Amino acid sequence: MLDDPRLDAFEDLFIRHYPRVYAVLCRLVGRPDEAEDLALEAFWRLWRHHDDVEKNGEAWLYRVAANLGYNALRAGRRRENYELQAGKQALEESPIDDPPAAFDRLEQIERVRSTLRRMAPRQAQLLALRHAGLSYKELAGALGVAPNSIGTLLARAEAEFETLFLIDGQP
Amino acid sequence: MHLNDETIRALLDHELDPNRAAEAGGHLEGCESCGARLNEMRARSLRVAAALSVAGETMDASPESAYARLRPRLVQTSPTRVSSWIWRARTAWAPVAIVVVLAAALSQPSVRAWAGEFLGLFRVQHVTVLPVDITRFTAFSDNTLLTNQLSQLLSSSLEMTREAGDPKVADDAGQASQMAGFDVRLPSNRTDSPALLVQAGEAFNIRIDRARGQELLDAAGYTDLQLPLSIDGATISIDIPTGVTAGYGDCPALEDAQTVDPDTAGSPGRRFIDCILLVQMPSPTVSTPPDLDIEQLAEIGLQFSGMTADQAHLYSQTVDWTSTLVIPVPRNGASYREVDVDGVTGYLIQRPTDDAPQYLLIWVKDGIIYAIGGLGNSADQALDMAASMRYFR
Repeated sequence: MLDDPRLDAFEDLFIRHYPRVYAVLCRLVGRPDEAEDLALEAFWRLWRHHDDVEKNGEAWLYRVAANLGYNALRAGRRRENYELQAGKQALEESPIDDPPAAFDRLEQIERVRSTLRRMAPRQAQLLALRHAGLSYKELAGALGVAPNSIGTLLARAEAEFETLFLIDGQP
Repeated sequence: MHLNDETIRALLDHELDPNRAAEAGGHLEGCESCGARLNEMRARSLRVAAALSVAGETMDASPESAYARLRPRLVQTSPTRVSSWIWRARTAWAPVAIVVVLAAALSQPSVRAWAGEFLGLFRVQHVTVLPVDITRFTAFSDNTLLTNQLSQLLSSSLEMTREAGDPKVADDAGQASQMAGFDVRLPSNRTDSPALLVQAGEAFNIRIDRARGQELLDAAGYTDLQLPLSIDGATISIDIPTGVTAGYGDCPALEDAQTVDPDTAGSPGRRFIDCILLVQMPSPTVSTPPDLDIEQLAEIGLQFSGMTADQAHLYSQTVDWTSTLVIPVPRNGASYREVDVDGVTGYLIQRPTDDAPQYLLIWVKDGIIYAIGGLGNSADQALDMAASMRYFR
């Protein structure tokens, strides 16, 4: 393999940040395979644009990841019903210790996705980023807002999420 | 006066500085309504976290296995060569990158493909320019499936027999000559000392898979180009010798091997506008089977570049493919002219973009390929430097 100091530095950055980037995307798209693909895409874009984002590349990374995740969330709407049904059928057909719990989990994931999809993009992204472990300073960098407004934005986003989530759960 | 939501939430998340946290905590002890608000926010935050965590409960994130998936893609675009920092290899300007970073740019799969066609030579004694329709390559490079297929074809066909060396700093021309194994020349008209880097080139074999190559051409729409059956299984060996790069002016740290995009406003490429690079290296050695028809392959390459069959045949007759370095230049993106330089005929190629014009002066003398590149509309400095080249023994 060819030696490249940039590759070594990039690998360090990848190992350090991948778990949180992946966690953000899992919360937005709900599917581990899709979350991994999107996470790799975010890092790939950082690699390609590294020279343009010399300062605060990490904030850029999370911003790109959140955008990719939200876009995928919106794009996934059409197939979610099919997949929900297909997933339920698969659970019925394959031996699972606790099918009802598995069904519930599947439906819960889809309900969360549906709720996030109906929120404003920044609110949905803020929740996914915060609950993946980003600090207020990191959130401010990723979303391009003042650090001393994060608390208010979080409180509002969570209130909005809960309102829509409860509506979504009503028969 | 009550605490606002910003303060309460930040306190909840341990994001207040100690002084403010202490103040807020003190207020909460005596304020029932703020305390209730804090409890409400806390409870809601926990419920939302629980809901989101269901979606987040997935396979463990394994950075190492994920990185293993990504790394091959990174390596394909890894800028590993010293001289590649002044131009990023992009489709429209890749031919220039080929020249300036000949040994190094061959690490890029797309450039290797070109080099495989045009380095059908044994010893470079001359240089000439070939104008090409770059939109043909843009369409190709924009097609992810095709570029992946090309990468896979090259990966399976290519055998590295020697890795390129790490760039090493030389103190002066004498030391650079010793390290490089040939007498280094520098411009005597410069009063400043250059930063000198010496880098050993790589060597590799390319084994031609005619069927897969034809498949790729067909998939790219070049169904009229037929690779001869005789090339199947032929092995071409390419040995890139050690090259020396001299950086004049305010240049990025050469040992960082960072790519620089001259087109991006505010990018390092535009900050280093007075940087001039002089690259020199002996001719690469190319070995081919004795029965390999280089002219026929070159004609196919010329047709690939946009010529008709008749044009390609006529052009091919004018070039001694065993001793000429042919530089593809984008027809609509650059201009070029022949220049008398250093006692031989060379070419000055200029790319006059609005934001970051670039130029490249290239010539061959006594079996050494020289190239001077920089940013700006005027190549006068490069021409003056080339006119004053001398040995510093």
